[in-house]
Amino acid sequence: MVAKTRAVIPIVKFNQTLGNLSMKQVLNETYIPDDDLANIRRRLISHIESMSDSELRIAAKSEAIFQNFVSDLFKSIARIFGYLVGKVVNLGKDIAKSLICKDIAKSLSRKSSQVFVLEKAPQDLSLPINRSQVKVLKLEN
Amino acid sequence: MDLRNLVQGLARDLLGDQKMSDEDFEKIYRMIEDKVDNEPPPRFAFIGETGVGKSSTLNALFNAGLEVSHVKACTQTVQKVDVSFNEVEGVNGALVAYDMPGLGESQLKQREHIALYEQVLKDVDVALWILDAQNRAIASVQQYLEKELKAIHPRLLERMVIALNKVELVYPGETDWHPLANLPSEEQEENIKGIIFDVKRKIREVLPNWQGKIIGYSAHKRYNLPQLFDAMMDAVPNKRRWVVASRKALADFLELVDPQLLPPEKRRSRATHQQPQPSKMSDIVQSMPSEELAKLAGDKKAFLTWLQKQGL
Repeated sequence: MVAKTRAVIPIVKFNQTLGNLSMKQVLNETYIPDDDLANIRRRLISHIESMSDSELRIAAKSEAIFQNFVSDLFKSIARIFGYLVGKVVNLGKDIAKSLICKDIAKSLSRKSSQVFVLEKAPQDLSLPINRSQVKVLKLEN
Repeated sequence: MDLRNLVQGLARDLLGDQKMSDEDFEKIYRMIEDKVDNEPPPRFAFIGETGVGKSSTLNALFNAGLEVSHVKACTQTVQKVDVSFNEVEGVNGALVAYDMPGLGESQLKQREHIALYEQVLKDVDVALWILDAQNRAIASVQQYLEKELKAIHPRLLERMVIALNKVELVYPGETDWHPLANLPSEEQEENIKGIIFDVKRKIREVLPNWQGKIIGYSAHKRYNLPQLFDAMMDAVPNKRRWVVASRKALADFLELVDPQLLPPEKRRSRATHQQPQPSKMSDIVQSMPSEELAKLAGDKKAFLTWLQKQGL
């Protein structure tokens, strides 16, 4: 009877130092060491986000203008058909809104801090014991 | 964007209490559709030296289907290329892209080419100057810009987009490009940034008022194509931007990324996009069941509804 043995391919990660060269042996050409994988994934996600931002900008740059173009056409043709045409209030609102939301999010994340200055506390009084004795200091700016 | 929905929304917003009959709406809609379809296509000049990848770039951005040769320059005359687009089918074709022959082939050809440039550049909406990202010596480019092309159309050059193709070959070379993530290595990324900085400085030396952008990309790896398209949009006059955007058909970057690295939602969307879709009307008709075809053949409205239901 032949004993069934399971072939074990050792996952060998070791450094072979050849002069200044440090080589890492991996299973095959598609194997990514765990520590690199997280970094690559992070860079990939950041790149995909940058692509999405560009796609959004392309859409925003074109769609509001397209809507204006169609709106002008509609107004001129509808007038020929005898309709009274008013103004469009919210043209391109949705596209602009998505961009504005992004801008707000960006501005919030990089809002600079503001320094508040308190007026100087009286130096000649002892520290209060009761809460009611507390003096309220005002902001100078 | 669905044109019918847009026109319906406009009719609601613009007419107030007035009631528009279905018949009038249909007539007005058809007239608008006709105008949209017949808006003259935007004109692009894709310019640069031999072998920088002008045809590959056109293919990657607009699915133009141009012949790409790796042996010799394959675009010897200025040719108008009507490239396909994926939103509104126009009667006069799509984007007009001038695939300009390279400048560096020979002195004789160069003189011919400059004459062709003069003829074409006066007529285009935006010029895209394609450079090989590996080529650090852009002295010849500076010379063309300063002496030859500046005289032709200075305002056009001020909006020109500089496209640095083949970033996958930037030092330390293609072996450093990450094959699974389809990204440059961190070292390559730093070098690409350095090249962009360097080229920007050199272009400004000869064109101090230059307002365009420099984008490092790879047509072959489909890397940074949305960023390149976005930069091109900035160079198009405002009122023509929607026409350009409607022609956008970027080669899919995610197709070259290993699925194990993608976030789950992108993995799903990639699986959906991989379903082969017929691209021509004749293919759609050919693949339709015969009873369906007989039923829809005489009814355009029903046929359009059917197309929408099929996700086509």
